[in-house]
Amino acid sequence: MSIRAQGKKLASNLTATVGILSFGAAGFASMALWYQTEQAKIAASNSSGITGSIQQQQSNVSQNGDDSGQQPAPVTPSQNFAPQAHSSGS
Amino acid sequence: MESIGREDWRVWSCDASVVVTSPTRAREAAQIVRDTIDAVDAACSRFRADSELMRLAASLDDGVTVSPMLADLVRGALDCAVLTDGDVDPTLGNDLIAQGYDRDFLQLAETPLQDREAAVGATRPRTPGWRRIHLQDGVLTVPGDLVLDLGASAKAIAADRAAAAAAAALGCGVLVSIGGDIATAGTEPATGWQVLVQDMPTDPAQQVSLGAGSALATSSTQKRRWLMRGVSRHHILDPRLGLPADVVWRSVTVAAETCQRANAMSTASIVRGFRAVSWLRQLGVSARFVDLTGRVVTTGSWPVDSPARRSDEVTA
Repeated sequence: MSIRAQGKKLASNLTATVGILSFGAAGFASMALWYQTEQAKIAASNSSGITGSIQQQQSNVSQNGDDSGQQPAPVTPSQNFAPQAHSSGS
Repeated sequence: MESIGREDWRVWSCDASVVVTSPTRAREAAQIVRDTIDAVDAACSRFRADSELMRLAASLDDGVTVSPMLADLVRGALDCAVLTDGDVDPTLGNDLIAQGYDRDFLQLAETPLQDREAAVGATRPRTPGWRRIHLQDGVLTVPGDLVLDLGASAKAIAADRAAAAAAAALGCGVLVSIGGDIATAGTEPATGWQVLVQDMPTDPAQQVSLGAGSALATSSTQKRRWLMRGVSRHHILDPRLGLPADVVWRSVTVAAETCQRANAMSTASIVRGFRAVSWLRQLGVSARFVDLTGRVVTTGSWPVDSPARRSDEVTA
């Protein structure tokens, strides 16, 4: 085998090795990221106290904010009947 | 107009009313409302030594099991803090005491100024404390440097609970008003619930029709005021300072599906000042702001003001 052919073969082997190593590293990184995400999910579901409740409700609050203008109108103009109640500060 | 029944009385230094669509059931409804108010007061009043909150105060730092009622009231107060991003903070007890608000308001108004001054401590900027309250499986933990004051949210929750309980027990439409915080349940009268919205007698008035299951709350900077060291104070504190909020609005009235929610947003609007208008507009909330000059600003679908009538022109 000529020196040129040996060089090509060596380059080819090197390319294949680098490719396999890169693929492996990427796979490992993906696995690590997935594991980290799963652990975070577990930690969130196990969190105790009011914090979890607050996070849930904060999400609801912002949902209400996104629904701007979609809420029913609880007050309408009066027909000038005698008032049954008085809303004032206390 | 169809006939209604009603009962009125005084509680928590303010007016309370129940109105029912079945005229003969007013007295029963009033008893249900009174029982609800009594239960809330026994759970969380900071003005009576035998309330559950006061009895357990010394143990809260270590965590203690509380009654379902107190747990619900604390949870409701924390919900209000979440909704308002902490502008309504249930941990302002020490700050209210520092401002001289250390007893029922009726007694506060009657106490000589020098006596109150003796109880007044130094005020300083504070860190909002509501995120440090822990409530899980009925066990409440409150750090030792915080004192709970559930006042505003508890009153609104009491109105919601009382209206729901009375409507369920009596099978008719019910409106409950506690100090101007209004909750409704059951069916509405044919003309809707007619509510006069007006804080002080000289403030602009507007009458609105409130639909079944809706609620109204008004927060005011003009009521529950007292003098401390010659300076007029009001009872709505800015949690970031522990001091009465700067007065931008004379009053703010908010409509919502529950009185708890309406009260949280009206109180927070006093704290937020001008920013409150854009906040409630973004949320699509119907509200009415009265500024220091008596001008009215509305948000959401709050109806346009009709020509104002003063309260002394209205036949109740």
